[in-house]
Amino acid sequence: MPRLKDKTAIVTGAGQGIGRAIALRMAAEGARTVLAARGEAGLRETAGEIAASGGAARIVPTDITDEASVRNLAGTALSEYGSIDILINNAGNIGPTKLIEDVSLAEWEDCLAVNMTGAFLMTKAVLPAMKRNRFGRIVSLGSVTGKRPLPYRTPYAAAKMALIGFTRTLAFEAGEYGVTANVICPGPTEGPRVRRICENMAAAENITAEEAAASFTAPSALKRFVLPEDHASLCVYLASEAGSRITGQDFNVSGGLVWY
Amino acid sequence: MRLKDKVAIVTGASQGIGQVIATRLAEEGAKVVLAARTKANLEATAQKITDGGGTCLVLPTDITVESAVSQMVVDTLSAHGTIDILINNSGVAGEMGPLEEISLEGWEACFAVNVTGMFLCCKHVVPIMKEKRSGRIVNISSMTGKRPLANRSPYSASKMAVIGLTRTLAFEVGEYGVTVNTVCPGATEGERIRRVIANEAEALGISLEEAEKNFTGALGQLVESEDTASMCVYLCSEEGRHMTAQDINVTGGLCWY
Repeated sequence: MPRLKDKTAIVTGAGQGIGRAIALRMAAEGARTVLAARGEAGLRETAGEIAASGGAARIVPTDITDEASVRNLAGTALSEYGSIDILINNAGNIGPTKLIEDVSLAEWEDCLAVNMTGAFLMTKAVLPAMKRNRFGRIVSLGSVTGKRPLPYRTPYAAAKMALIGFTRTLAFEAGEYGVTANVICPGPTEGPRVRRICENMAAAENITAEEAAASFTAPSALKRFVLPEDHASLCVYLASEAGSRITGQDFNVSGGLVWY
Repeated sequence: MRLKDKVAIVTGASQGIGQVIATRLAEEGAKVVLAARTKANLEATAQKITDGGGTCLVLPTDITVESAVSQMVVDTLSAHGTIDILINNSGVAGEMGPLEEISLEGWEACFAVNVTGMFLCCKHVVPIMKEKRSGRIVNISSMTGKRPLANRSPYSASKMAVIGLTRTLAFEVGEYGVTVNTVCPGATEGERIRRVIANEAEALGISLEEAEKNFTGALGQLVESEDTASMCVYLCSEEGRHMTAQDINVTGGLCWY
């Protein structure tokens, strides 16, 4: 029995990595997915994979930092499927890898625009429809970064921690309308992105990429990277009936790298 | 079925949340071992599981007595050959009242079940899980303690102790592929919470609706035992493989830390 049958789910950043894994799982659980990201090519690949396994996907190239673009996304989802039940705020940007004093204002603002303002605009655009239906599930992808200090990444750490404050408050504003809001904080997740982060870190700290990778896994309880599918599983759980009484939470999916 | 043929011990399985967890694990295909002090009460849970076509074994156990716990493990192994899952759910509400009026006996009795019993169950099950390089332990705590609750110092202290035990054990056994997590249920629908709400309403001279609000969060509703059971299934299934050392609130948004 699919756990998200006939639910409409918007997934941002759905053209690659964790966002793609989430979109695939949601579709496999019966959701009608609306895939958003800036680049159309990645979205087409994700939609192709979903269609190949019999799922429903609609792609809407979107710049989530642009309110008009976000309104167009929400409008398309509504006119196509009639409701918006699930929003996965997954789009993110790793920002610069530099000491604070070397981060430019433009780099700072760019990082916050995608990671935080984008989630705000998306949430603002879908909430009226969710409140009308008295049902909604919002899951935002945070990070263990910020919970766990990570030198050279202040813009990213600040933006991802901001999502937690945003979500706790949102949960209390929207709870009486049957809308839940939660954050998933992935630990270092296997894929090209974490490998790029390790290379950046290696360059910034004059160590090898392997040493950078070990600095992420060694302090965890399970001593390994997690997988995109782990986050997708939790998204499905929180969006399903099983997650109906969980809200305002931030979940660490990090192999035990953080516990707070 | 997400837990097909996994062998799962559930303590405190004779009633309430423990009974629902045991039933859900059985529905997901687990062979469930039901532990609690009183055999008669366990039989009710066993009946439910058997009626639903599930498999279970009743092992009356006082988890505060080490020889009883080791016997429970021996009996589980002789019946099923292994242990994959341990749900430490047994708990007591403990003596209530202002801290200075709590007796030493009341304090110790609360810790004996809520903390020491959990320690003993972990201690005797962990070697088996380490040896097979896999295992799932879920400890049932509470939001009480995270959220102050006057007149419940033994309970709140014991339930916060569970979180410390969980985090540390997770790091001891992580490299063996064993995960350890805590689930913190909020006020859970049932006769017990209705009684608590009624007492509160009477004590404060407020309506039942007003009193209930003190036990609900962002969603304005109590949680169900099934919500906690679902989270246990998730953490024990393949889907939960990379979560460990966490304490997860299932409270309807009453607690978020």
